Amino acid sequence: MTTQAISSPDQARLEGVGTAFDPERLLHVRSLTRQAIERIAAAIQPGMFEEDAVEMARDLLAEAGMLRGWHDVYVRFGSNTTKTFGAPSDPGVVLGQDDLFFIDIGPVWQDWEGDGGDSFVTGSDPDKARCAADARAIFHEVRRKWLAEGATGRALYDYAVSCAAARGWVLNMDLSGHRIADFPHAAIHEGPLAEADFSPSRLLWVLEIHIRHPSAAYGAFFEDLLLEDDHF
Amino acid sequence: MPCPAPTPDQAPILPFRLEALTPLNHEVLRLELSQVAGSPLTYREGQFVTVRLPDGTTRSYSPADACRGDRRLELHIRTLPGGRFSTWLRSAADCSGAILEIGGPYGECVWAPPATDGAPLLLLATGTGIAPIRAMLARHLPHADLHPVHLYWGGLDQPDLYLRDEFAALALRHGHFRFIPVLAAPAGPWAGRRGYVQAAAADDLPSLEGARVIACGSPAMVEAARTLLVAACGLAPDAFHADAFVAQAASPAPSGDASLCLEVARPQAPARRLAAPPGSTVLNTLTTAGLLQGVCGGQAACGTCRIGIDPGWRAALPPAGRKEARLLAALESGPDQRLACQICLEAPLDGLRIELP
Ligand code: FES
Repeated sequence: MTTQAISSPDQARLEGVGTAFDPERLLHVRSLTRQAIERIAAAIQPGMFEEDAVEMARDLLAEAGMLRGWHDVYVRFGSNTTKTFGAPSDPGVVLGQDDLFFIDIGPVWQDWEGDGGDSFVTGSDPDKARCAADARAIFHEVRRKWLAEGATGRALYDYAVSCAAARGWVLNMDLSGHRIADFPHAAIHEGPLAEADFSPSRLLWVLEIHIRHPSAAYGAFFEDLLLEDDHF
Repeated sequence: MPCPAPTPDQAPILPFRLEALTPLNHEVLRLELSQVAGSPLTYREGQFVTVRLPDGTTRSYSPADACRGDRRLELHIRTLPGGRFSTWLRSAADCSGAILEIGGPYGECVWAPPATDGAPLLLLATGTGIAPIRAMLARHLPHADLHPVHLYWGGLDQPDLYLRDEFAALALRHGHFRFIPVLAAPAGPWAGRRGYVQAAAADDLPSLEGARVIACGSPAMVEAARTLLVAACGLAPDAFHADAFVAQAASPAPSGDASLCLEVARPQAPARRLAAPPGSTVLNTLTTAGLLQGVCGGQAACGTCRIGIDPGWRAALPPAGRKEARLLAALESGPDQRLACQICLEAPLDGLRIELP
């Protein structure tokens, strides 16, 4: 990785880790998180209520030994995919035959945090399929800029806005990356990646991409750790 | 009415022992009482009794279960901030086993089938007005299949409908019974009906000719329902039954804004006494004082806000909801451990004693 990191006196403080920090464990909890997302998605069917999907997701996470989360479990269906992090969903939304849904989980496994999200479609609506695929594609475009240029967190999100616009979507800047580490990371740093004036280090930050249609009521989400290509 | 209610000076006063006190939600307590002397109290479901506390305070409540003549009595009591009965009940450790004097029964708002065959019986309740309705259903529903029976139970938010699952199950068992929960101000996801019970019922049952209505709950609901159903649905005025007293018992609590007190014990540090505005969570209060921070934003997801509850206060807390209970179990918590983010401080919890980890 070529690095042109803008040095910041804050970087060492903002990238501190706790006593349980262990890169191997973090990579392990990342893979558990990705597997859980796939399992939850596979169990979601058209006709389900969003509330039932959230309960099912909690059960699947508990079965996988991820009983706590550093944030709540989000499964969003249909028009609720435009809601920002933490906003309550509209109740009673049923997943349609030609619909879009996303999953956002932040499970804690033993002393390590995971965080991940992905979007999925039912049916064959090409615009919704493109929306889900573009959230993932924008994630990788931004990640490659980080790899290639060692860009700052702020520059990465400026770039993400333009990537989203180029594909015809609006980027939600409320979901703009954050720290991850040994639990509880909130004791270490709560600020978003989009406000970091230094190049974030690998394995310590998640990049979140939440896009929505400029006028229609759907959106898509993708989230994973900032890591090199061979991890994807 | 076939059997006139006794007047207060005719009614016997009978001693009952307080056997159990269980929170049903954040403000309603279930009292289970057993009669310790005299011939067994009998009542018709829907009637009410008077309850006299050891200090002489007297209140009236409707039994929440069918009368079985077995000397047992179940009451649902909405605790009112600063109320004398509520204050007395809050010290559950002291009052369990206490002897209360029960008088009655009184009142004439009891089950009555509609005058016309096949016409509906409409039951409307808000808050603890559900107690007499529950008693009536327990007695009569299995034998009342000549008429469709519709129950509309209203509250502000989901915790107010503390017996929702029970009535939903009853509707599955009895094809002639419908249960429609109605929320006026749900804060979270809610796929059910919104607004007020009388409006929901008038929408669903535009013609109530020959029907009968029994309403128990807030006086505002009872009066609004009477006016609306007579004017808009053709209900005969004398087919509307409500009990003045039950309405009074279930009326909303006055909202006080005086600050409450939270007593905080800390390991190896002096205890603290914190002031908290009513309606704030224990976690908010602790975070404001710089004593504890939750990671998940109060979502009952992370467990970082787990605290100990003084055993004497355990019974005063509403039981943990499904999400909280699941996380507490996952963290192998003891019976006195709760999540601070899930405990809302209201007047009955004034003086709550907790312990930080
Ligand atoms: S703050 Fe996370 S469980 Fe209470």
